[in-house]
Amino acid sequence: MKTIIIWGSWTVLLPAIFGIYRLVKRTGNYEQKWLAIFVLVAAIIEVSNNILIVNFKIPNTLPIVHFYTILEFALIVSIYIKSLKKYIPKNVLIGLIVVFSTFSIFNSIFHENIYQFNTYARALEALLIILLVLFYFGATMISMTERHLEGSPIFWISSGLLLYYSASLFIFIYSNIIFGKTDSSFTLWGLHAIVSIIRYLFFTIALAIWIKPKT
Amino acid sequence: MDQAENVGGLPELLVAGIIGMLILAMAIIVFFVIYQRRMLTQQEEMNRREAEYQKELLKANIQSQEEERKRIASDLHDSVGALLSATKMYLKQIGVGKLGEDLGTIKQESIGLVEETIQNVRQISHNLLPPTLERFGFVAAVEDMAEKINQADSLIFHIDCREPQRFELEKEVGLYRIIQELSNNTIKHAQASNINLSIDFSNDHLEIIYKDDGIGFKMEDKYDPSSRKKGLGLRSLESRATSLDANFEMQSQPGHGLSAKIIMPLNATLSEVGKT
Repeated sequence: MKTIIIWGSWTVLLPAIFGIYRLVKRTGNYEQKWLAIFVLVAAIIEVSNNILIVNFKIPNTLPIVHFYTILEFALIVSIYIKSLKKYIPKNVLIGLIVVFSTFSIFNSIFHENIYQFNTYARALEALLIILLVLFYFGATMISMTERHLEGSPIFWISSGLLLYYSASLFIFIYSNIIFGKTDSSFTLWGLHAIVSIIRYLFFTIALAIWIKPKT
Repeated sequence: MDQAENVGGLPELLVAGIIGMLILAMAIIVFFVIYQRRMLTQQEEMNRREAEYQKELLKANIQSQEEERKRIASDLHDSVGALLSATKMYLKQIGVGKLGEDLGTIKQESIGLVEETIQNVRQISHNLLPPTLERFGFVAAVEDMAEKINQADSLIFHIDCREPQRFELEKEVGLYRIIQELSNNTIKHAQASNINLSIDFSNDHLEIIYKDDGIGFKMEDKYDPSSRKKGLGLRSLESRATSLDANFEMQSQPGHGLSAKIIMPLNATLSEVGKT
């Protein structure tokens, strides 16, 4: 299980390679560009986290998670701005990012210690992203704009996000309770690592899909 | 109480919850994919049917044009052609040792044939585009048509129209052709005693209701691909209505006659007939 947990965190490097390619070559559609930024940020955070733990012997890097939660939410919502602009105005989604960031900062300062998991912010983030993905699925079903789902990056992104955040919701809520308290926490973080690997594999597919550039 | 004790039994429940949520998420994705595929298949099927229908309409349109050409060709050949041939024969006799009396007869016969030819040409031209239609408009032309049908005494053609108006000639001709086709069908096949035509002009559209009390027919037969030939007349009417941006509906049942409704938007009526 330990191997899976380690793999779970390092799998982000796979989509990150595709992300770097997309950003350097300036190819891909709107969603792929934002996803590339997101996986790159996630990879940098993951690498920094490991360097801090292994090289600098810092035992608790949870403050990074508090900061990353805000960044992660903002980047994921940004992926959907273009696809949902017919249904949700851009300003509403930006407003959602601002409200969530404010809540998350207040939570980190006044409620949950930055050396603990930010369970409220993570759980709220998971719920909001699940709702966003469900909204996207509903809108796509009504509008019938996606003719080939398997060739659409946003379908793979949405599926990866839905699987990851649905499975992780309870882990986020109980992360402070289970963290280091029981042997079974390995099972839980192992499950988290599995869905994380699935998410990053889906993101890799989303980034690898070739979209014909608009002429 | 130690937090670790609170945890007792929680991991198992959590694992079950996580797996449950994962299954639910997968079910949503699978449902989304299947639903999307099904809807796309349905949409493609609808597009295919629409394309097929448009093709049928086009075919009906071409066929009706061909039939019209055949009819004109046959009219010209059988009446005008025959009369002109006869005239030619009379005129050939001039100067072949004919006496003055004979020449007078030939002249009279030739004039008679030419007059008959002129009459026939007028008739053919009238059938193609009635002069009343161009001069006085759709309602007047339909009234003219009704009068001629009524003269035949086989059925009665009633027209109900208040405040007739004129509109674009192209649309007037199109609507006239539809009424002409409907009444031709009634006369030929319906064994009807009455035709009722109601023409109602409103501010922005024209509503026409055509009814006959004939034997009627099964609508399904007209749309049945196996009886495509039978359905061409109906498709031709639909095709004409579509070209006029009009909505055309037809209802019929065996023993209950036929009823057709045409609603056509009026962009701008030219003027009321009374004011022209």
